[in-house]
Amino acid sequence: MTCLRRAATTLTARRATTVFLCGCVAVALAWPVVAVAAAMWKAGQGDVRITCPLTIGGNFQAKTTALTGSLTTDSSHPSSVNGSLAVDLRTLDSGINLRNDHLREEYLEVDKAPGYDAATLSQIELRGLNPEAPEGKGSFTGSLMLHGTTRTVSGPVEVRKAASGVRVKASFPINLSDFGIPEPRYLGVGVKNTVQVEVTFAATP
Amino acid sequence: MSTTTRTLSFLSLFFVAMLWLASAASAEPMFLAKQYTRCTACHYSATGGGLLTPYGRLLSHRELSTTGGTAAAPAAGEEDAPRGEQAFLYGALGSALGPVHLGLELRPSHLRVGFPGGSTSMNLLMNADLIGAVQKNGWTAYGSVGREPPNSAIRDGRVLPDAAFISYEHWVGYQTNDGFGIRAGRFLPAYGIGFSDHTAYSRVYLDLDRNDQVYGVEVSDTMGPSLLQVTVSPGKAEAILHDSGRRGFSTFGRWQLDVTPRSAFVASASYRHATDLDPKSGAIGGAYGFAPAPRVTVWTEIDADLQTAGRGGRTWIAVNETSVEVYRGLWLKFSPQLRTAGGPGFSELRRLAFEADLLPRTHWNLGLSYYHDHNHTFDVDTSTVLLQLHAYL
Repeated sequence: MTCLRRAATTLTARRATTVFLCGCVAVALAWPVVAVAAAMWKAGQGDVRITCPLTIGGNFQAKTTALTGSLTTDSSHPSSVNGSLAVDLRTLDSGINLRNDHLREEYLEVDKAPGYDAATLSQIELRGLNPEAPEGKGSFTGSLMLHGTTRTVSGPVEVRKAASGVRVKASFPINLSDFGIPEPRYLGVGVKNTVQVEVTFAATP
Repeated sequence: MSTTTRTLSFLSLFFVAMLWLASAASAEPMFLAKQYTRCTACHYSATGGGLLTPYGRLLSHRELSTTGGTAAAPAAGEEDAPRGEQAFLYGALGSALGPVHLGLELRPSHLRVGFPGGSTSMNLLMNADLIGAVQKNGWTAYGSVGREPPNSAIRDGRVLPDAAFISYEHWVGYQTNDGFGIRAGRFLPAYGIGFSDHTAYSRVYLDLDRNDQVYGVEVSDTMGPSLLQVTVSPGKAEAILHDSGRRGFSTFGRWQLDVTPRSAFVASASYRHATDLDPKSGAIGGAYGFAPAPRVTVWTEIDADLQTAGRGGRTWIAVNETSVEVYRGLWLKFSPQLRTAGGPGFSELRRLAFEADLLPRTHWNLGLSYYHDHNHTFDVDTSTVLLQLHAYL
């Protein structure tokens, strides 16, 4: 009996040891996931394209690669993404100097006051995507500060795994009048009130 | 040289010389590289060419000409400054004509044509036209008066040896804010790509040449990225006025889809009823243009030309035009063109065209073109050098 008890005690101790070790391994394995989910994501390799439909038909695109910012996930609010993304509006290029001059100086008024030279997206909420393991298609809403005015914007977002992080593609429409941007009209040629913004960037931990 | 070859050479020369005699100015599809997919950004006419709008004049000054302005752009709503290199005759009449914009189009040229056994050359004034336009509250009235060169005008089937009066275009149009437009009068119907070279195979062989304007009504509608243009006409304007034997009902349709700001697809169709002298004919075609880089535009148009009379048949026309802005105001173009044989009287033609377009000053365009045309059916070559100064004032 004593031998049996000893054997049983040994088995119980081994099980406890095994369970403890397995727990440690599980925690150890799970930790990087939690750590990555909580990590800061840095935005880079940006490509921002603004498609502007013309009043006479057709459209043109202004684009820039000057997108910066960082994003962090909030485990207590899984759909929220903290941080912000900013675009340097002085670098917007439509391919023609005349258009660039008017775009920056007459309508976006980048020199009017501090902050007018950037468009900043913050308070981002994701829908249909898990911020801890984001991949696939969903939608987002966010606060866009542009031309001294903050308005909520929303649109589809797509996240794909990339070599070192993820590749994010999002788009949303902007009503120029909502942001107090003067109606773009020049010698009979103008831009319609709603323009489409398409943002692509790489997010790396 | 055999008599047949000499005859063919002479006919080729005559034909080639006739081709270049006069030209209504056309739009420049190469500006797709600048993200301009519609003619009406810079021209009053929905089919391009002719008088520039104030926006087009400003763009010519600030973005296209080599010596154009680089200083700060005029404030929004203001026209170009009436001084500086862009000012030559621009605004010379001040506000005496109110909202009427006037332009003068001159095209002095030198033409040299080489053919088997010889060559010839001539100096000519292709265009001398005064063009006026007024635009207000969506309405546009447009018209030109000018001179058609000697050996160009046709009266009752005969070529006039002398210069003649001509008004290439005169029309009235209305455009709503949501993109619906209508115009009536004399204009070149919308079909395919309006290459600036009016001798391009897709223009000259589809009756879209220098004098092929129609009297008619055009209805157009812009729906987002697409543009639909439909023209209905009792016939070519010159036929209605001076050559009734060639008058016949015509209709044209053109649909353009801007795939991106730097690429567009165009589908077109046309139909001309038989006249006393011409068979019933029609055409259908497609074109695609894209700008792979900010200074490069590539357009390709392919059309099927259909004629049902015994002398006619089906021919295919293919035109490619690749344009590169190698320096501000200097565009180089390369254009291979083909028209297949389609029955008796329709030879297979092949062309290689090279062009250097220099825009040294605002509204000035100096062009040097070289064309090598090969009549594959009769194995006859012609080469043409054309030097022209095109001035919009």
